[in-house]
Amino acid sequence: MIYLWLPIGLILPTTCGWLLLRLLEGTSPVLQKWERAIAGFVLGGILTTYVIFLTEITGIGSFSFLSMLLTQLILIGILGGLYWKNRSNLTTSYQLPATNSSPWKPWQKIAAGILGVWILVKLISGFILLIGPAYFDDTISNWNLRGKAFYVHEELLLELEPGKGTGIGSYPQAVPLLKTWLAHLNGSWHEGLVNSIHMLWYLAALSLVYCALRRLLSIQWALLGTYLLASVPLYLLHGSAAYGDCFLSVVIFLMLSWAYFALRSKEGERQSFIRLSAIAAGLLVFTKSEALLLHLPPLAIIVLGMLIVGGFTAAQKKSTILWYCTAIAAVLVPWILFKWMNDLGFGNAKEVSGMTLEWHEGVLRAIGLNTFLEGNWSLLPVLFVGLVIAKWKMAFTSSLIVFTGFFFMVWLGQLPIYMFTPLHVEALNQTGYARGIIHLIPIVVFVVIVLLREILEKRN
Amino acid sequence: MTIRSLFITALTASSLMVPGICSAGQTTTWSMMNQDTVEGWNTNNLTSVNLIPQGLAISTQTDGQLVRVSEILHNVDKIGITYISPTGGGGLFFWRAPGMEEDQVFQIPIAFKKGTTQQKIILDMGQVDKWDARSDRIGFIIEAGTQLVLQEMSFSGPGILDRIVFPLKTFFTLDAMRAYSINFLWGPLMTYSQEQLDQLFKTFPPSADSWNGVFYSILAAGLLLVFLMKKFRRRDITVAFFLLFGMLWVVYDLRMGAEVISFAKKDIQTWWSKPIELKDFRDRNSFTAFALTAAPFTEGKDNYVFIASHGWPFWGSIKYEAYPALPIGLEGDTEGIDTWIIYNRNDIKPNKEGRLVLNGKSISPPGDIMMQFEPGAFVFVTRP
Repeated sequence: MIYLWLPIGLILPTTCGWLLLRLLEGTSPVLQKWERAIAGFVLGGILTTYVIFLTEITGIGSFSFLSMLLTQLILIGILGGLYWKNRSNLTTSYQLPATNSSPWKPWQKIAAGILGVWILVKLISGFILLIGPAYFDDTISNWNLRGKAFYVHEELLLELEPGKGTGIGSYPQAVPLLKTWLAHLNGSWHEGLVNSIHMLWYLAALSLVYCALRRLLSIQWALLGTYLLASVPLYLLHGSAAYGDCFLSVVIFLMLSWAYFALRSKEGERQSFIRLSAIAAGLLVFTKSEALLLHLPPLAIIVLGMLIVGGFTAAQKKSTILWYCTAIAAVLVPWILFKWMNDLGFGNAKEVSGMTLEWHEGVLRAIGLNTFLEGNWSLLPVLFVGLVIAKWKMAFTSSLIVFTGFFFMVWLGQLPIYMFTPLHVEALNQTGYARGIIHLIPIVVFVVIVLLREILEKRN
Repeated sequence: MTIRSLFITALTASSLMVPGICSAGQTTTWSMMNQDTVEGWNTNNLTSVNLIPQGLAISTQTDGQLVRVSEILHNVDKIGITYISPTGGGGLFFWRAPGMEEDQVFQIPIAFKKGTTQQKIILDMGQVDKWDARSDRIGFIIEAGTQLVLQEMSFSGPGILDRIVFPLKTFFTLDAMRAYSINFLWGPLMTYSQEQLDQLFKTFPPSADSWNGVFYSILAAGLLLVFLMKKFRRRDITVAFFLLFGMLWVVYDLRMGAEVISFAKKDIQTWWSKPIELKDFRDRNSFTAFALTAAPFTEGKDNYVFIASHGWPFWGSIKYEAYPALPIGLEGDTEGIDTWIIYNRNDIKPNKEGRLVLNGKSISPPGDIMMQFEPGAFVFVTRP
């Protein structure tokens, strides 16, 4: 019964997210029905918690049940009102191109059935792992502890232990606040309930990768991509643990895949995708600390590149810049101001200011081990590297560069951080490097499937 | 045609693996018992060395050296030294690995147990980085004052079957969920002996090779075949290569998926299906159940004293479970705090006055144990 609060609790954030996305799509809808609902669940959770956070720091509201409920209802009222006002323009729905289908062969049906059951068994196992007592360090010291603190005190606490500094208080509050909301609904802190949302984010990743691939390819190829993602071992572990990295990976995927489809689209659809991507980029800031330093700068370069070589008209360029700047600033400016006013750090795991630079031996070896010789990623790294080399032209000169460019900028950007700064211990002890890769796994899988299909379809 | 190509690819790949898997020989024995002569041994600075029926009898009043020319032709991961030593004594076992200078050796300390009966030392050379079975000199430095009858030395390494059986067994040996599992999973590993397999996840990092190397070798061989077929036969077997890749992927997925399922199975067996007093959680044993049971005693309080056998992970866990009450260690200001949570400390007990005593010193005001979870784990509340 307790777990019923999960779907009930997600109705308001998901509705907010759905309304926001539908309004942004405007007269040129680009999302499939389920895709919009799932993306709405992911982004709606960040949107509502961000607004709840704003009401708290401005003294308008708090983290009490009533205040959180009212804030969400008011948000739905505003978005619903806008939807109602524009309802005559929002009647059309998106249809997948009919060309993206191919008949099922018997062996494909059997394979899909067997692998589907296998994925289900793993999901059930992951759920069992997730609802047990708090176990992993950051669950205990960060994600769940902050959620519990907000639930108990009904206000924003930056210093969870008096005199021990702000530390994790500088991290965005989206994940803990969603847990606070579920605990309020239940009337007490229930480990299984507050953690179960992580499995939904994992399922959202699988579904959204499927939906994005489906836009380009047949059901079979899209399912293959879903299977590939579901069989990356450490990604499954993160779907089965109360950490924020899988969640962040979904938001990054939405932001990038929508930018990618914007580049491939024309006119109204292009602008719809740009607006969606811009909103995802803005909400990314309130998801996890590293988004600010690691993910937004590469996105800025990607968007700039799109504007230069993407065949955008002058009006589209203006609109794109305006949307990205406005959406990001809407979250970034208040968030930065809040951090600055409260003297909060900007790094993740360690403060970025005042770091000394020196070469640290063993980092590359540790990264090599983690990437190629452990069980974290299955055979995905060699598949990805191999396909990118084999189809380098497509990987780097087609619209796919939105993904590959972003991946290599983020990945290569992390290497010097580990090689030359005190953060090298995160790589040497393998405590930080893999999490940076988790964020990129859905986009890697997307690239792999597109390139693989390109190689194999030609030969058929 | 595709299936045939796949078969050829797999066959080529596996044949490339064969030299790595197979090696000759298993055990080489140097026996000194009941011998008329022993070949190849040299001594330096030892007081007396005699060949007797029981073995090579050594007695020395100075540090001395016993060395033998070695020509072992197989891998060695265990060295057995059988001896009798009426005095006991210490020394070094050394070897000169290929490429080393004449006067250079690697060495590890050994100790001969005192006794009038036969003893055996087993050296686990699989754990010694610098060990090389191809060393051309193997010997001992024997400390002054040692009497020793060296009877036999055996050099064992994995046999042909072990080289196949143990890597396969290890492939299916699954790790348990641990704190590091959120950052990395070891994945499928390879060991080559029962001893290595037994120790697999008990050492950090595990003393084993990654199976990924085998997967990569198979893929590399497959890729080479794709290239060769294209160049010389003008046939494109790319689809077969990716079918091979797909098969390996599924095998990998089965292995790693089984690991995650085994994590869940263990949680069910040790946590979900047990009453609270018998619950164990992963590698935290009874602590999690204890913390959940103890936390309600802190309700409505700002602080409690927490003392456990280890800081990590107990401190963070109890802080989380008992939040908003916060723990204070024994080194902190415990004045006025009435709730004491003790875990895995058999050395802390109440005395006759009811005070908790550690190392003979009382550390708390008088109070009572309100909840005894297990020996050394309890909640103690001071009297008003």
